[in-house]
Amino acid sequence: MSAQEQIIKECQKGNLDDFTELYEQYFKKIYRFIYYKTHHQQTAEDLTSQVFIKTLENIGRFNPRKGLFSSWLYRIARNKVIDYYRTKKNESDVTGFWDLKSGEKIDYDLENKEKLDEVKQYLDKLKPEQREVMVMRIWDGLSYQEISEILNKKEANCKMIFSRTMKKLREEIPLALLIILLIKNL
Amino acid sequence: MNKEKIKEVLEELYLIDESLREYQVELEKIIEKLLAAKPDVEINEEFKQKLRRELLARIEEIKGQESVKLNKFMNIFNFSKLSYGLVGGILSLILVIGGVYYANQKGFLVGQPESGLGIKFSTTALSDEAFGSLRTETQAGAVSGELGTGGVGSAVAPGTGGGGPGGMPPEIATYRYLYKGEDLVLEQTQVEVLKRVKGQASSGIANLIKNMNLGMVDLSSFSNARLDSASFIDDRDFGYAVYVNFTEGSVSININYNMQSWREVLGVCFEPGCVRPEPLKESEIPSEERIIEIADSFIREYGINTDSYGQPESKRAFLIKELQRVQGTGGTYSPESVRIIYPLMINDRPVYDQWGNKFGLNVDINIRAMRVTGLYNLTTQDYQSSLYQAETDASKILAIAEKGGLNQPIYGRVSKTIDLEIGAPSLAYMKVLKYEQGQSDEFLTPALVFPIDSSQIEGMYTKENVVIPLAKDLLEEDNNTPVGR
Repeated sequence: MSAQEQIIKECQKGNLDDFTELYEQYFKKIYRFIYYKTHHQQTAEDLTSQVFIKTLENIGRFNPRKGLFSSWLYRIARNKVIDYYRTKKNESDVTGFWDLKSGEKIDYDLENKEKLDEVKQYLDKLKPEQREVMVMRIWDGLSYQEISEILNKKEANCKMIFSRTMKKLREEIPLALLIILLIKNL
Repeated sequence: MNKEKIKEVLEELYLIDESLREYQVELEKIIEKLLAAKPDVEINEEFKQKLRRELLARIEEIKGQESVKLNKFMNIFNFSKLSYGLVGGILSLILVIGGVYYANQKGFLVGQPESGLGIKFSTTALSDEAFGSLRTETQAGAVSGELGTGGVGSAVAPGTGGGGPGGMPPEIATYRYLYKGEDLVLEQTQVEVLKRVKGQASSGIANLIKNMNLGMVDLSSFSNARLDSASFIDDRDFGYAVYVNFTEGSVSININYNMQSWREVLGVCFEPGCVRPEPLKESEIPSEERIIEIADSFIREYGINTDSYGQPESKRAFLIKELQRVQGTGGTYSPESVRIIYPLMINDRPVYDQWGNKFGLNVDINIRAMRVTGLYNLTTQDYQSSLYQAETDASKILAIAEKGGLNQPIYGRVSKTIDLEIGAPSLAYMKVLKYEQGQSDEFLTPALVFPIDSSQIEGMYTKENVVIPLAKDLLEEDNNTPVGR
């Protein structure tokens, strides 16, 4: 049994003292995961707080036979983001910033505006689930097992979504544009 | 993501779609571009430390909730309403001292508190199917343990009573419950089962008293002392005897039979030559409102906490039926009590027993005395919860409902079958007892309650609902207990 599994087991028995170990291990990952979906520091902080409090209070519900602890934690985070957009923006199918209708007023951090505008022009061509899988795989660096457990889809299905996403991006983005973008980032 | 990681992502891609390999250069650039576009995330260290402190505070809060349970238990009712006798006084003193000692340790005060001290519902979530199987190994055992209201009696055909003419056995009927509601759709794949946590209240007090030397015996010599139960007596006219079971986390109140005042008003008659009072007449039974008022007034007077219970319901109609039934039998027994049930409410839904009766706090009122004679099922409401697989096959549920529920008795000498209609179900909870190694666990599982239309039946038919639990585990084994074969 790994150290993490031991800590989780103890927490499930009610010995919560080592929960902060899990917090240290996952804080950055979860914060970034939420930030990539909201692009707003204040919102990401609020939602990250809610995720860890909820995880602490419900750790007894985590079932290791059903998947990885990390997937369970990311799923809580994803649901928090969906709830956030549902209540604040009255949007029911939004899993993140990218899915918002154009023209929607939303707070986001200006420092990343230029980057966001660039990437948005071709990410907009993707379906929401393609965007989500792409961001989780490339930005968050999550495994297909984690992605499949977070989205409650089969692993093979997630792989297929990602391969189609890459195919589409290759077809949609002219090589010339890519070269220009790359030069700008040098 | 470095070059190597990008290569790994691409290799995975080629495993899915080999044709992509010929675009390797473009794909590499796309991934690089996507990575370059990744927002810069700066971690606010101050926020991280603040959240860490919040989590630590919440952990302490959760730990604290465990210790408050004892204090809550001590305040299930207001002891100060009772005038204690000598023995009861000593015991209650121990209880109160224990409570104050323990409370002060944790910063809570006994005897303050209206607010919530008492038996408020609390639950701790555990992992899925954490309680193992919910069934008693031989489910029939659970049935016999719960019998007492409604079950067997409801299967005796109307008007037959306890014996047939000329010593013939009574006519036995079975009932078939035919569903007349709309199509049943069960979409939920999991249900949250609750297990009542018992016995946590005793350890604090036990630790306190086990160090006492009472003169006759040194309690500290018992290495693993545990306070199991305590009882005390309200030593006055119409006083009560209170029994506190720390292991079970329950309190019951009965009349103090030693008091002459009770014996007189109830017509207790054991001595030779004593004449029993006339049986009650139907006209002497007060209205439903009046009966409930007596129960409510008792609960108010003794400060009993009913936070976890719903609006009271009286079994007045049952008393009237019972009076009518015994009138023609010529026996000496005559019922005199009405039961009031304050149904236990979980998540705003009532709890039922497996026989279809609402389960909760019971208050018995003797009509002759017009006084409360007993209070039962006042329990702590601390639960653990766990998700269990739910039954989604409506036909299976309806097949069990047709028989009247799980583990119904089967009669060997059935002379007829009576069809009854059951209507569309409502969602509630069902209390399930699991017996194992001489102990019982109490579970509450979400359940469907089908109301029985018994309007076409005359006589002593008492079953009101068919209750079917939704936890699949409980439906796996449906034992029908043979009776009278």
